[in-house]
Amino acid sequence: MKVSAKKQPLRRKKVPGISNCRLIGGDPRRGESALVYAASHDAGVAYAMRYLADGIVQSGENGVFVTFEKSPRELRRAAAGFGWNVRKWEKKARWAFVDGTAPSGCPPVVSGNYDLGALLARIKHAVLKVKAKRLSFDSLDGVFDQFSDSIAVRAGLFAIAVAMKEMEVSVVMITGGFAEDSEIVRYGTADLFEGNVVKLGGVLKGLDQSPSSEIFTGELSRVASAEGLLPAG
Amino acid sequence: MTRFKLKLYVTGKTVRTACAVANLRRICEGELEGRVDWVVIDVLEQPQLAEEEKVMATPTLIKEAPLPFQRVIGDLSDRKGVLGGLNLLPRAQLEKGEEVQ
Repeated sequence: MKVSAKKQPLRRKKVPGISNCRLIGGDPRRGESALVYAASHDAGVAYAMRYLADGIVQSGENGVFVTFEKSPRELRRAAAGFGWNVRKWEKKARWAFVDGTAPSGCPPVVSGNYDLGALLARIKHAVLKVKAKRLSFDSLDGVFDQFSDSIAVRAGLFAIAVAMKEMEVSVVMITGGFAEDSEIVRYGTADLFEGNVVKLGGVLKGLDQSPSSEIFTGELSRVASAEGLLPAG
Repeated sequence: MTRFKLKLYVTGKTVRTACAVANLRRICEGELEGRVDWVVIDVLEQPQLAEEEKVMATPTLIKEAPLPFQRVIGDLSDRKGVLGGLNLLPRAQLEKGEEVQ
């Protein structure tokens, strides 16, 4: 059954860097994954950090931030702009980074088949280390950019989503602006999220008409949207 | 003689792992015979090492020496690609001192 955003009760939630955020249903429930479409990367980062910070400050839930675009150092600095001392949380084993940014030096050579087993092992290790109940993943685009084998990446993402569900860790995965030719839709990752979709920036156009939105039909149970982005920080 | 230092990151004891180890062994006992130190690291047993080296995919081969650092991702089934990634030419050419710089 398709659920219209207009028919759902709205509740406002303050998200740093984002104004007029309307959330329906809110963050993913325990063990669920949600896909967050962000009109700008900064908005996505702000949402991902806010999700973990809320967990620590309000719910007593520790978190893991998996980053493919900004380095942990950049993220600590950005978080400080919102008043969050991530370094302190790291020292208290309440927050951990998994650094998926590309290593410096020569780009890798590909020879044969591969999987994302190391990424999954690192994520599990970080989750166990801080006893995390929340995980932010920034971003899907960042991991697809690093590997040419989209089938291997999709399988890896699926394995991560399944593992987090088994470990009762809820996940938000950030992706870039939504379009009919969205890479994410082409890669077929949306089915990982069981209909949990968060939209930031009102970038979803013609949700009911566009072919790419059909993947959500019947599953779009909880939608959050935000209109009007403010500069992060 | 230039000595090579290689690390192969794998995930568990799978067919893909066995394939990568066998392919690497052939190169270490062939083109690199007598001048390589190599180790296999299972990320399931030592995930912190994968974190420190920012390894995401498995198998991943890392050449630490000689510089520059180079990574080869995959089960190493494309021998030519691996040798290229390690800056090596086939043994016959190596013996003539034609190592690629």
